[in-house]
Amino acid sequence: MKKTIIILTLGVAFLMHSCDFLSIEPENMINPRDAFKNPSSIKSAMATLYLKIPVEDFNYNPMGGGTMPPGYGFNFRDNHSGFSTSFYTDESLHSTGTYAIRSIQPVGGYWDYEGIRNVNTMIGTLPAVQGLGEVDLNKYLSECHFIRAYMYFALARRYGGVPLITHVQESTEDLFVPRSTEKDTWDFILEECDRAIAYLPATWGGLGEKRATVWAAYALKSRVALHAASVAKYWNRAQLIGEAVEKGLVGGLTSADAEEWYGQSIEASSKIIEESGKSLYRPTPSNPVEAATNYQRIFEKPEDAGVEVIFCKAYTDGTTTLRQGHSTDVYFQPAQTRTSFHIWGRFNPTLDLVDLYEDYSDDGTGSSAKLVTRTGGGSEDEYVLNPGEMTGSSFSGYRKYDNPADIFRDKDARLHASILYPGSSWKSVDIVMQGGYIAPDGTPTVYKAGSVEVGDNTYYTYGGATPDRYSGFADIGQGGNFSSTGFSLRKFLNEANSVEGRVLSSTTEFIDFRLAEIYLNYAEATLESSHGDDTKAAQYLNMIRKRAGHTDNIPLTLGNVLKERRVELAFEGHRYWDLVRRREYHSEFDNRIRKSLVPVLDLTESTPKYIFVRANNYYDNDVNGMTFYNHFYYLPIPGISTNNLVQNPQY
Amino acid sequence: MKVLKIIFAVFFSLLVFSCQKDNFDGPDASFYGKIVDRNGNPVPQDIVDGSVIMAYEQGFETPVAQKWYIMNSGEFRNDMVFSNEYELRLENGNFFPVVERVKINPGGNEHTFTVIPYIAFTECFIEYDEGLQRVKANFKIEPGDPQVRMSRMTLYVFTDMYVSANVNMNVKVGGAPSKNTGTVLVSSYPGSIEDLYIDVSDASVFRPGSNYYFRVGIQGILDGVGTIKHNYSETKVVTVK
Repeated sequence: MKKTIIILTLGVAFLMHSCDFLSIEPENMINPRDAFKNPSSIKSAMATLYLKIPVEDFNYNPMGGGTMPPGYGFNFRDNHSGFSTSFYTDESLHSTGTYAIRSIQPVGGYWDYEGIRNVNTMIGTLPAVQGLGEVDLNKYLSECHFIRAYMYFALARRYGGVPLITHVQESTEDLFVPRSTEKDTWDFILEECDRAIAYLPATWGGLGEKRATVWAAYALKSRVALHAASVAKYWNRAQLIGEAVEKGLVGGLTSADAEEWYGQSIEASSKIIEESGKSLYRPTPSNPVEAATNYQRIFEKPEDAGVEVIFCKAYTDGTTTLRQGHSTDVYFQPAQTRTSFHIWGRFNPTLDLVDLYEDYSDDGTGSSAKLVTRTGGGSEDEYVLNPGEMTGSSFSGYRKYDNPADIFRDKDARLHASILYPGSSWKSVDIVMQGGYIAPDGTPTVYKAGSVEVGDNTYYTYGGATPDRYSGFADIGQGGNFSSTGFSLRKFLNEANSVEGRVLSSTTEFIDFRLAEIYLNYAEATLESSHGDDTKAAQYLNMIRKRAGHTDNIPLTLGNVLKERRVELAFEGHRYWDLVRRREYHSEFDNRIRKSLVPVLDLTESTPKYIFVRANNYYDNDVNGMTFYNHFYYLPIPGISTNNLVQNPQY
Repeated sequence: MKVLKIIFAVFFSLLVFSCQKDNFDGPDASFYGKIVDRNGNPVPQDIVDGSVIMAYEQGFETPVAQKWYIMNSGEFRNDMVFSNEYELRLENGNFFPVVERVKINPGGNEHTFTVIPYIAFTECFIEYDEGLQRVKANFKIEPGDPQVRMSRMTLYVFTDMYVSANVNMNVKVGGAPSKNTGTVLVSSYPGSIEDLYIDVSDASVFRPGSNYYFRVGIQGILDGVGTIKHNYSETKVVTVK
């Protein structure tokens, strides 16, 4: 018995003893002492944070997110056969009709508080790293603030006011941080930009523009402030009510806020324009053809246009390095120059955008020159619902062209450099986009396969005998490998080099910020507020046009600036957010049916001619138009039943 | 072997065991009724993007909105409701916002929301003119508040009763062009508007012998009330000849 008691006592004593070897440091966190033993280890941690910057690049899929992990729409390399925010706007649509969703809200959100925690950890840890001098420490901290500003910007423009978490939360404190007001959120992001600007260097040496410089931080500030100011100015165009509005979590911004933020945008833009040494890439072309070559070059090889690029994202080949690269050259290649991969031709610019480009009459007005499809001043505002149902008599009044490319002659260089149209030359191939033909007896065959023999020649509906000889219309309603609008993407595609027929094989850099955007930000903010210099704004606007080969000076008007923005920055991811921030989406997309241009070969003439039918896009027509509802301006806050946040209106 | 059997038996009995703890009752109430104006007339709605009742069940720390949809006719019915106290918010619709606290008891609960539409149709005649092959609308409107302006006024047509701004055929709508835009006060409109029409002569669009549903939709503009949806007249069925 005594023995038992001794054993029990020893046992209990043993249990109560706490060993040193049990008090280990948590293994799921890296100790800063180990993580940052030398500056290069800081760099590698910073590289991880860069990957989390929500840049809406080639790998961004606005359909991502939602039920997927936070931030999943970014770096989304299984990109659903290619996607872009552009497909939700009047610029372009997916060749299968933006998945034929009638309402055009991207379902995906962005709620990457995990990424924000990573940045917060970095900010909290850096000062403790031994051997890091004050200069370097401040540089790194500013870099973190740039990344965090970018992340909160992505949140604010989707949700309005969000919880502002600026340090690593401990489990002992209150984890339920409520949403800040929309005003405080914008102010915080702008302050973050200032903290980034404070110590970022003007250059990182050999890295080009791939690492955030002070100019990238100014550019971000210019964009953020313009967005915030526009929301403040135009919020009332799409009013909402509800608890979130009552508490100022969305809206609640004043015209004084708009003034202040436009001013901040102008200030940031001015810094870049006047002090960065950046300039437009090849600003004075001798003719429009040269202008088109130059403009195409900016996006095909951004590394050559470093003089204009402020911040960009680079890629390594994803076929050799896992989870790298992008697939732009595969998914968006027109059918005639497709790779061996089974998906292509997905990016279809709209006629709405093509009509917006100017010609070179350069009469000082800067007005758009719509394509001329009809004779005798016939209406260019009428669109055929379904060209497949057109009868012979409905083809009267159309202008006839000898070559399909003739209708695009003398149009703005940026059209030629951004969009593949019927008859354009691409990779030494003439792009064929044809919706049908009119047989010599006057019977049309449109949108359905067919052929007719005339003399020794056979003519086909889509312009060729086999699917490798045309790029448009052939699989409307059934597939997505052929354009449904009569146009295909040129911008960003690599004309000189062919990529492998595998996804993720493209390495073309994505330009996030470039000087042209900053010029346009300056001009818009100047017109919308009492700040800025009208003379300079007009000068910047016209510099962009001159780079595109125009010779006149157009007046500084809001209409001119906004049109120039759509044309110059087409497909670069701006249009979606411009429609959102200026609260124009719901009026632009109110049962909106985007338009196609359907070339038809007229064989009733002795030599075949081309006529061009303005038509409703098949997919938009099929769903009776696309609509953006007012409450889409804010996405639903995810997980409110557990995070206790106030939901946005109407969700 | 016997031990194995016992283990199986024990596990099996564990599987069929249900805890009292998560054995909650299902929905036990139904909530139905209609949205009417001050004269007791139902307020027609959209089936797509129409007005909804946002129902916040009380008792939770963060109540999450349930959306109870309102039918085209202005009626609503939800037979899968948990009896409890609710905050019902009818906002962002085609009438001035209404917020009510309602106690929903087990069983049937009928409720009528009396609202003020932004724009009310006091009279509306939609007529088919066979000779001209047109369907014309003739109506009178009244603002719910003197400050209500008008963004647009359209005669819609569709192949079923859900005809609305979001469910309609893509046809040319004629008439009232100068009054169709702008921000004119509704009260400054003439007492009667009779020149909105749809041409139904195109047989490839309007098949003779088929029924088509017409109604007029008008969207108001007013500050401070949130999103405003269309107000509708009654629906008229026309058999095109």
